[in-house]
Amino acid sequence: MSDGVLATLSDADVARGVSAGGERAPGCEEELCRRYLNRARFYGLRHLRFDVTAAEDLAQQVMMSVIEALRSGRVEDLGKVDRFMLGTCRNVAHSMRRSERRRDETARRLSSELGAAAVPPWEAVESRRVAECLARLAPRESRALLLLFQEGRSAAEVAGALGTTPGNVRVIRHRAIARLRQCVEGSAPS
Amino acid sequence: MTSPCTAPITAERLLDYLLGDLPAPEEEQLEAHVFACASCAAQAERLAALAAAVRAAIPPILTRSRLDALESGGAVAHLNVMSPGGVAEVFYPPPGKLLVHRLEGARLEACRRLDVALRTPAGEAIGRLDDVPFDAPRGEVLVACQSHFAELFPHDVVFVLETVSGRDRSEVASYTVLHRPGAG
Repeated sequence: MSDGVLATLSDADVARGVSAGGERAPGCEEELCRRYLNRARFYGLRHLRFDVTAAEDLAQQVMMSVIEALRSGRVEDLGKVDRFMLGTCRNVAHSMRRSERRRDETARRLSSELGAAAVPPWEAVESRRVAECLARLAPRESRALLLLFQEGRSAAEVAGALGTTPGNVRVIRHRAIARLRQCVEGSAPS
Repeated sequence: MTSPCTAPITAERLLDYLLGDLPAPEEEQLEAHVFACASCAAQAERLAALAAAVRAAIPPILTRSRLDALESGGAVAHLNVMSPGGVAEVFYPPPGKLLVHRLEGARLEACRRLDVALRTPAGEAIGRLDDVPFDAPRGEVLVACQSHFAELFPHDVVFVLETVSGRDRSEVASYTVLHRPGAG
């Protein structure tokens, strides 16, 4: 089955393709990773303190666990694979937080089992370009983003550093991220 | 198969989620939606990629905690400690590494806002960094220098610390750094 045809299938049909095994299964497994790996990374960033490496480990462990569950028929409702995926994210994040382990054998097996092409990279956002765009923001906007994303400060802590209120920090950070995105994507001067 | 979302999540709400500012029930609701909706997932993934890039970015002026994190990660090739009026000759760092100028000894106890003016030794303006982070008790500012700066700026730079209060601006300390190519 071609990539073009796979892309038209519903999530449930892709899950059925994995579960059924046979020659369609590898393509369906890759398609499942293409659809869900970044969602698991997003979840991991939120729940693992913005640790990009840990979020990547979580995402790969989740994908491997879900694929193994589909292969062995342990997913009862293939029409709700998204819920199964999210539940697995929660379990893996809980386990990672508890043990503080960064990596295990499951994580390392995803690319070897499915091939490197099945593990799409994070969307490439060049950090030097981001640094240039951060420098074009208003000083308090760039400072807020750096305190939030690099140092994990709360809105109240950022408010203290900037001499403003937590409510205003929310306004600043939202405006800052929108302007940063515009600048990085080159759609508008910042 | 991607179908249009009938209740798209706003960018502001995705940011609230990523920064941990949603109550638990709303957070779980948002997660369920993102995992079920390819359209909102695409928005979430773009935000996650941008956040990851911001996390990796190196600003020109560092906080002490950011410097500590970079040092523990092995990213700092050399720490150049300077006193007011000092002149230092240093080598640009190798690619991927940082040279950090620790400008210390300035009287910043009463300072609420600090700007850093960049000039040549002849006094020509190169640029300005406004409202930068600084450590008031230590009188310290941490400047991060990267290898590609060699292509962007004059090699010899004077960093002038200026306290700002309302419309008043006062120079409190200056430090001259003579950057030289090649590994030191």
